[in-house]
Amino acid sequence: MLQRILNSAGIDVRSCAELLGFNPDMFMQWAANPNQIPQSVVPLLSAVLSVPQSLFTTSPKAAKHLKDSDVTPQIWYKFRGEELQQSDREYVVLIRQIGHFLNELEEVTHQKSVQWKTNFESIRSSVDIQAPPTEQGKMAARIFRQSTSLSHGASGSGNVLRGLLRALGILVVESPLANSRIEGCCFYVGSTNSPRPCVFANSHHTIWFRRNVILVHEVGHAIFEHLAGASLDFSGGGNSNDAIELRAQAFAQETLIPKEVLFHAAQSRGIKWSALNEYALACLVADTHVEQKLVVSAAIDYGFVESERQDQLNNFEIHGELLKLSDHALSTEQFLEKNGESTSDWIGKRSTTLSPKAIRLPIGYVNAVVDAYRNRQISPGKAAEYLIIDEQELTERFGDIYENVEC
Amino acid sequence: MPNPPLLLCDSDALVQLFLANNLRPLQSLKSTYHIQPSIVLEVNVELRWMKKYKNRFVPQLDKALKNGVLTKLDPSAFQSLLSTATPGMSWANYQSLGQRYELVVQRGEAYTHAAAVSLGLPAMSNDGKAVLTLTGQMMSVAAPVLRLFDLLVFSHDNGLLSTKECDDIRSELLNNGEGLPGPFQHASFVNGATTFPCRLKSDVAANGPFPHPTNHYDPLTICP
Repeated sequence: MLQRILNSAGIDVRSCAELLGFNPDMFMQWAANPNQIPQSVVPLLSAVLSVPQSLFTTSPKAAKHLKDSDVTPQIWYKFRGEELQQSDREYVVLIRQIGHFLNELEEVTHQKSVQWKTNFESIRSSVDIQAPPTEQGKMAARIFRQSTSLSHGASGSGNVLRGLLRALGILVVESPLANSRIEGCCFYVGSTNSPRPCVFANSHHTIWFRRNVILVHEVGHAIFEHLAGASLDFSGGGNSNDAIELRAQAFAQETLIPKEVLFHAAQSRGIKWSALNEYALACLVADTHVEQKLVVSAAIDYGFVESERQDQLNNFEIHGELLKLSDHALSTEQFLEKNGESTSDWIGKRSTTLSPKAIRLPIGYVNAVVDAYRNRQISPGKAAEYLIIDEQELTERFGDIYENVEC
Repeated sequence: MPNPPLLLCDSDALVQLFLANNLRPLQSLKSTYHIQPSIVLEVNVELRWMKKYKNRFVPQLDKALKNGVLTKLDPSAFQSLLSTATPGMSWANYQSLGQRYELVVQRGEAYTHAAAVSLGLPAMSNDGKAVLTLTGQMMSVAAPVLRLFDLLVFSHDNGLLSTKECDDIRSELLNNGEGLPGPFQHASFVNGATTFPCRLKSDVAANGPFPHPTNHYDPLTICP
């Protein structure tokens, strides 16, 4: 059964074994004969592959009667597509493993947040299912802002965005996938009876202002496409006029840069819409925390500028001005240099070293693991496992709380 | 108190024996003391793929399992030990306990301690920090928890391993970046042993009965 699930997902058995820390030969045996899978391993496999635990104990006789469509988890219908590479699927396996770890960690620390569930359900039940997709996205965004702290001010929310999403219980991952076409995606992680949304932004060659939009766009997908298993967005767009994409983009715009935020940003800088130049546009990007294209699109939607000016404004070269206005316009390396932070402190402490593919773990996740370790809720070995590093590296990065304790 | 039928071994202790390529202390436990070194299924999985050593120990593990130096604590082995376990204990209860421990420590040691607690057996694990974490969470652990060096000191004191063999093992572990108990980190084996509170002792039955270990740090006295 395991073999069929992996085949249906388009995942190579040996790569999957290594990603999950199992001997590939032994994993092959498990794939052929699921009776050999220790009971203790089943929850992890179930969560990572997105199949119910009971499927692993299905007898070979009963399994014969199941069609591939009966065993292929929804998520893999999207991720086995030809547009994706094997490495993309491997990253998904890794991220799903982190989702499983996060669920375990929250069980130990008793800090489980499922606020996203009521939030999303309330949005889905309130939005007019017959309305145009952009209107649906905007309505959803208004409810989303109202139900979170985003509605408390009229300033950009990029600085609080990630923390807010995490507080809702959403797993937020930003990591560089250098050779991937994926710009952003969302899918649900965790076991089938304890799912949580995960939004991902590829940080390779994307600036912070763009990633803010990607992340919220993906939240839009997580709200509306929850039964689709996963949503994928590729660099260069391509399907941006699909109803689904229009809705997610409208959600992102209305969440991050509603009219009052754009109005406030322009007013506080004394910007005249009729005389919008590179500097003024850079100020609006810096203050609203979203990329240039979305500022322009929002300004047109709210009637501040004429739609005829869209191309002209999108072509304004604002990066030089933006660099003077916001540290977020700097590359990560430039940012660290300017703030006197060392790359190893900032990024190194979040990078996995034992996974076949390195991934940059979310700050909130790393902090949750380290806090649990420092509070002695999990052992150093467990903390290292969650951070996908070895135990020695854990103590080098975060200190040895048992240094003076005789074990 | 009779010798325990099994000693449940965790991955970290077995890795060190595999690195030293010397399983005689385990063989001796079995042949002289009738204590069968054993591993839970999760340790069997761990030893076959370690992040640091990959599949390096598979041949040694397979050989040890084949010649009976090690056995696996599978459901039938577990069942055969239930007569001395706490009433109501079952494989399902053990699995459930292991699952709870696994939230706090790694899978191998979680199920090793869970099995030891379920069946009232000692365990061998070097991860004292995991033991402290579990006990700090009010979770019971094996009594006692032997470290590999308990077995080495015991084997040395009983003439099974020579001083040179013990020093060679210590060197091999240091060369591989393995952790050693404090007294052995900067001292030869013999010098380290003088300040190492060994938890495994041998005596003759006539001197018994010996105290029953109730804590992870209590000594275990076994008779040939």
